[in-house]
Amino acid sequence: MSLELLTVLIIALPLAGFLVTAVIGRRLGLNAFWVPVGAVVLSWLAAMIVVSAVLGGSVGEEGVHVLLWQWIPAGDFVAEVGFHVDQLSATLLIVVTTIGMLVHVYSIGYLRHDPGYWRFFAYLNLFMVSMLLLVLADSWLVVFVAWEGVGLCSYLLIGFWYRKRSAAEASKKAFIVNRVGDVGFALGIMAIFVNTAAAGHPTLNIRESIEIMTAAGTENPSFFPIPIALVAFLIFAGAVGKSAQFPLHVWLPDAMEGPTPVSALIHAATMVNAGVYLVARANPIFASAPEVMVVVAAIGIFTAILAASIAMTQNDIKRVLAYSTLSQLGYMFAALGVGAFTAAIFHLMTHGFFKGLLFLGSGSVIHAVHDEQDMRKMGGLRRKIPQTYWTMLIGAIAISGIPPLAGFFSKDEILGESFKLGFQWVWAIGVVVAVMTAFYMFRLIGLTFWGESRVDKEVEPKIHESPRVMTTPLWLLAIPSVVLGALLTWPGPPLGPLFGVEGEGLLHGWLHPIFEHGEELLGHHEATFEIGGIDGTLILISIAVALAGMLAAWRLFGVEIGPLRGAGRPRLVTSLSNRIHFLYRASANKWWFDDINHLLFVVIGGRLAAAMAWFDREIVDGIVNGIGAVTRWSGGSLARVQTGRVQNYALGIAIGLIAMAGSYFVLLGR
Amino acid sequence: MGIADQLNTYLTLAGMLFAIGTFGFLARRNAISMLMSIELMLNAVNLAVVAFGAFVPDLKDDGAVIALMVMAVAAAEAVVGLAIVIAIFRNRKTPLVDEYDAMRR
Amino acid sequence: MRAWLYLIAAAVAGAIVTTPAIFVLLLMGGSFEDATVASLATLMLAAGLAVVTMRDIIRCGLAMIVCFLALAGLYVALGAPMVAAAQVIVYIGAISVLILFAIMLTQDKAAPSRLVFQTQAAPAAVAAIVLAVLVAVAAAGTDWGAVGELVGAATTDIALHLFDQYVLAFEAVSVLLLAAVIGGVFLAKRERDA
Repeated sequence: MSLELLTVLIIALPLAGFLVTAVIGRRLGLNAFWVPVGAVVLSWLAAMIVVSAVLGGSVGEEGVHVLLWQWIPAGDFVAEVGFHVDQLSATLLIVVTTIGMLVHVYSIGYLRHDPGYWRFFAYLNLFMVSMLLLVLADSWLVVFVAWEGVGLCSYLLIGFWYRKRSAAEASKKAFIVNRVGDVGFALGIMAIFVNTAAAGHPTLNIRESIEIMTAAGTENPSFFPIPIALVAFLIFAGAVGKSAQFPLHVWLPDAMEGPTPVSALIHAATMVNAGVYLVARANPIFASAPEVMVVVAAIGIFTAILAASIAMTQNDIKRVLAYSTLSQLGYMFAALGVGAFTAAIFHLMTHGFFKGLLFLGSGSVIHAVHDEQDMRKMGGLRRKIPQTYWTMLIGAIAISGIPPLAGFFSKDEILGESFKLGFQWVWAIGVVVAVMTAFYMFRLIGLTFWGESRVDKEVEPKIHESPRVMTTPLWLLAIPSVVLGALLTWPGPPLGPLFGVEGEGLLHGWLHPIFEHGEELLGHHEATFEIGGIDGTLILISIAVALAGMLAAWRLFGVEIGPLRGAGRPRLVTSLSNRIHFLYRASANKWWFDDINHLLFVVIGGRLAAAMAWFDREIVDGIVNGIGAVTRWSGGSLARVQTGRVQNYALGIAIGLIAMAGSYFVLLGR
Repeated sequence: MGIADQLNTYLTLAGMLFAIGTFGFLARRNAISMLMSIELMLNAVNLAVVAFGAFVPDLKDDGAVIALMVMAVAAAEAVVGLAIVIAIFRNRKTPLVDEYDAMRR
Repeated sequence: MRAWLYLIAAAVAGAIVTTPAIFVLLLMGGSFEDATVASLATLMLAAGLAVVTMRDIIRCGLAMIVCFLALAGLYVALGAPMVAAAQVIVYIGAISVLILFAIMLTQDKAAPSRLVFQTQAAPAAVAAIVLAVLVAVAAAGTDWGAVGELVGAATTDIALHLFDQYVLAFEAVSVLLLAAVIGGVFLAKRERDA
């Protein structure tokens, strides 16, 4: 079994799963899951083999390359469809296939009672195909096709319960907002083509095009017809759309209308990471345009704090997690913007696992309280659904950045690198966001699991733990949430020097060849890690703020961990909210972004469109119809010459005769 | 030279008779009136031809011969024209041409 | 009462004939020939106007006969008595009679009370006047060059010319006449039921 064949299988298996399920799924009823889930499990196996080969170094620096076929042979320019597995793709593969597999298994139980069972698995498999294609693709064109493919699957899955109006509208919103970003991405691809063509070698192969555009001697901005900064910005625009950064963040919270496994897979662990992947893949291009990197960092960290502020007041459990996702994605972009590429990918991995865990856990909660999503109607679920409770608690601790769980390592690396690379403002805002993150996560835990039960009286006796097919993925996701952080940074900072071990961490080592060029262009060099110096201080500050947020949430919403007990103080919550009334309202209304969009595009845009329609109808059509009308009228008038009477015609002849004779006279002069 | 000895006199007369005939052809409603006007026009032409024959030495005899020919043709045309008018009259029961409008739009 | 009308009509006719003669003779100092031509011309034009303007078509037909007569007179003045004779025989003797017959066959019982002229009579009149003016101007303005004294055409000369130079045209016209006769008979026949 060659590695090339395995690589092809990674995508071919879910594709086959989709086709089979789409065609005969309906007839299989509740057994419809066997083919798609099996396909994804096998795909995961193949992926793990390929990943271990690539990351283990047995394939060499170039990775695995598979050429499928030549798509567009056009003289000088050839667009090929092929796969390329290098270290970056391999790390993404780990995340996508593992979480994808676990979500598929989870869905077996979650959607058991839904009549569209087979449809859901078909869509999920199709999504896996698109996402894997995106990650493995060799050419910008194929990436774009897969980009659109994940957008399509997102639309299909968000609107899975299509008869529900809010779901249909949310799916449309997601697709349309995504599209705005996609325009930027498409323009970026065209810009890449123009630039590579200007350099004499038109290509849309990812590695080749990046090499050409960042080759030595092209630093002069006017070397290429389209400045590198613009290319970078356009690619970033696509990422903004897909990864829901400001100002295209509005679709992600509404996307929670889809079933929870969808939220876990697409809107936490995979699709929204596509933007991060894109920027990371194009890192030399970004590194050649430091101005754009500042923009990236600014937008990233702004989204982070914006989303975190909104999460603090949301009452729907999934909305809190959605805004949390936005916030953590902001962190990733901030990391990319400051030049800490590895940190961004690190956070991408850890976030994928613990956010996936949190979402699936929330799905389990929703399942337990019979489709109630409002946290104000939950509470005291700790004893009733213990497995869900413990796994979600692990997830919450991980995301808050409390050592030694995964989130602490990745978040601290981002913050530390921001500070050390000169972006202190990013660090400062990031610290504030960390406080808010811990706060709202423990608010969520407090409202859902601790304290008195506020559950609806009829539902309460029916609360039960989820079946094993749902809780097993929860535990399987909890494990990496705990150990992945330490694992990937071992033996590097921050723990390495503590143990007297030098060198980079595991992830750094893996991804070094990918980001080498970018870091070189930015002028970064290895700095030694000083536990006693700046790094140690930063670590302590990170831990301190995380604990502060956590404790604040405990004070307001209660705590019940082991011997620690405390009751929630709802009246304190209300009085505090009233004291910062404006901020509270702004947060609860999502800072009115949806309303602004509605006003700008729906209302004003609608009026503009109506005006244009009036113009088209009355004036343009009027002119066209008018020409027709004039023709008809003139025809009608001229037809009156045809009287049918000979004498009228004879008069015409007489007049003609006179005219000719007269003009003969005039011309010849009497 | 009196007026009777000038060519222009007769030509002007022919023109005026022709004009009268034209007016009659264009303005009368009865088909037979139209045919009578046509005869007037033909006569005007005849007058002009004979006048030329009289005043141009080379055309001394030609003028008269042409006039005779024209007369013969006019007669033939009158026959056929009147026959048609009679035939139409049988169909339409009216000799008025503004009521023959079957070819009207 | 009728008699008076006829007398008035005769007086008018006399006036038409004599006034221009006197005018030319005395006021313009012309010869008798000029006077004759003048009165014939006036009679011809007046009769022509009567043809195209009178209400009753039978009267139009009769006016046409008068016109032809005057024209015959003019032919005599032009020194072509042969043509004058032919005019009288063919036009008055044949064509006018034919027209009168046709009038008789197509008489509309309710006839005289309706309009005489078409709606386009006014433009037609204008066109006719313009036409007359054009011809007059053209004739007056042209230098006829080879025009000389009035020379009459002897009948024998005409006959020799007709059967010598114009014999083809002569034969063709006879065939034409034959065709016209046959055609006329055929067109005017009643439909037979069988």
